[in-house]
Amino acid sequence: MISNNKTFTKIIEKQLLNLVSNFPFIEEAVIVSSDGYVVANSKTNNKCIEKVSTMGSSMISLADTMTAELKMGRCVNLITENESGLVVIIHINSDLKIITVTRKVSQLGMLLTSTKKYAAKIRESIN
Amino acid sequence: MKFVFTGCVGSGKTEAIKTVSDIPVISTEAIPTDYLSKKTTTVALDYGELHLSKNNKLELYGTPGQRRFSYMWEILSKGASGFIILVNHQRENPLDDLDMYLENFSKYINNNLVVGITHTEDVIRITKELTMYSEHLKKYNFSAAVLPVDARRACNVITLLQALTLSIEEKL
Amino acid sequence: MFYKNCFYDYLLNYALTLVKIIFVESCNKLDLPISINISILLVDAIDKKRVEFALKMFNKHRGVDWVLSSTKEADVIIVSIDDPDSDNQLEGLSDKTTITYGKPQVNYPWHVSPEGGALEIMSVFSDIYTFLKNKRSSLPKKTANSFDELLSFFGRIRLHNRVLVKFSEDIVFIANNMDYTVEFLKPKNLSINEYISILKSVDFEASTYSLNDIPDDCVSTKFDAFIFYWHLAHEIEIDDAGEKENQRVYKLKTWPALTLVNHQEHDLKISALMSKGIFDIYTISGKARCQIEDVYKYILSCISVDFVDATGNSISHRKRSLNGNNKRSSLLTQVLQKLNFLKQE
Repeated sequence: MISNNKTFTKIIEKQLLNLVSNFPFIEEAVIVSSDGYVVANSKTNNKCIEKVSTMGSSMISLADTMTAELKMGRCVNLITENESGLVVIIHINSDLKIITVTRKVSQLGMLLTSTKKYAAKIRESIN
Repeated sequence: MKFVFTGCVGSGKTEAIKTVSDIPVISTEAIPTDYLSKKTTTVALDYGELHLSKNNKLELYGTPGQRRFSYMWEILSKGASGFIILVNHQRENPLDDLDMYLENFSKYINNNLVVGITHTEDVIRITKELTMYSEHLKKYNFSAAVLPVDARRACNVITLLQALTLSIEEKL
Repeated sequence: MFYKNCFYDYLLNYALTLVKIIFVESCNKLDLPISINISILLVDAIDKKRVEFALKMFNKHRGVDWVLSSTKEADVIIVSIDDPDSDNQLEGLSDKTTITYGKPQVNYPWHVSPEGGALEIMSVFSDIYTFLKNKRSSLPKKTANSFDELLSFFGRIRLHNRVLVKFSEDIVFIANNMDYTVEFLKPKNLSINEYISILKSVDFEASTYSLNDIPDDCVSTKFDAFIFYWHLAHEIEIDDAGEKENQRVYKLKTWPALTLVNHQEHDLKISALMSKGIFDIYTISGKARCQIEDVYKYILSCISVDFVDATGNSISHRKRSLNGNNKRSSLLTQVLQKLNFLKQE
């Protein structure tokens, strides 16, 4: 099981920590399994992260279903622009998704680029 | 009109909707990391339809089974006319499973519930078991049908829906 | 109202069975001494339990419902030939059927015979049964209705593993108590397709399969609705406290399998019954206690419909008339119609 593989998780955690240290505007980054379990988390004391992660897996699954219905292929990334922040969800592979959160509404481009970059890095490191 | 299928993981919610839906069921499935015996599990919703007339349809929603997806239970329950709780009889504590859904859906349930017992070896001779579930429902003051069901068989699922529809009709 | 009719429509599924059974029961069994109160005037201090046991065995064997009662309530009084005081005991009871029983040539009372008593008493009951059957016109009429007869019928066939049951010429089946199934035997004068078409026209789940141990011209099929009624019949008992004038109250001993119920005590109305399919159910609203008469009255009204018309038109006509009278359209109606349609597919 993905969540039980400690080495695997450590690799991912390291990448997450790099992400949030290199891009300080990212408040939270989390890797979630496709069925909603938190695999790695940049912060360990966020109480609501488990719930948010599960919701993220539902949302991107719904997005995939919607784009498939529209015959647009798989959803590449999901952005929610909110009154006081942004959330980006991106597929790492079929099993894992990355969710990043920022309070800076003006940083959408950076958030998207950096999340995509680290999603690719994580993909490479676990393959 | 909207009916919601809920119940524990592997109770047959997705299968039940697939069995009767007039459209290819829209599913949000992922490979489970906790229930290794299952190939996929629903993470957001399942959606199927029964076409009633040119303008009307019965919408069939399936919820994820796991408690961590309970936010979807809330979302999907809004506006629902009826609820079908499927209970996997082979699980270790099926009554505990039933409890969890009764408690979580209780604010939406008002004589618009049926309980389907799945994974029963002999659907004809499970009188005692059905009675056990019926008695359990009484504790919650729910009056609901308890029927054995094989989610793969259309006539079973239809019977379940008929029972639910009659229950709702009775209430009117 | 339309829903009521929809519900009634569901009832048609097994109404055929009931109607047929009731019909046959009415024709052949109604005058038999199925349910009587019986009083035995015993001369000896015989163990009453032995008599009760014998009567229980006899009831089971004959599928009847005889009850031991006081002489005042009795329909039939059994007097031992050995009883010197019988005349005194029967004083004022001249309107009762009395039967004197015993074997004067032996030197012990009939009910304490060397055979062990209970069997001997049973044989006495059997003789009385035959006697009453031959004298049926003089029997006091009981108020048993056809539902009693129906229950009694189920009780009787339950005593055997396999029972051949014949209703008229077109419905012949083997009731198999081992697995609660019913196999229909095709009548010789019909092709199997014709027979299946008749069965299907009255909503039987009819499909064919051959069985090696049945002659070539017999093909059997399973009829699920019967099973559920059967279950129901097993679960019902007469509620002593609820007996009313000309109306018997039946109580569910336990909630039967495959039923749906809104469990509210003391609500007596059965409101919805059954659909077809392998899980045929009667949907019952209520209750620890039910007025089966409500259902029964409806079934009686179905008797006027010739369900087993070879063309199968009658039931279709009935359904059309039920639907045609009620144009009310609503989502629930549409849902029910859709579900019915799917089930018939």
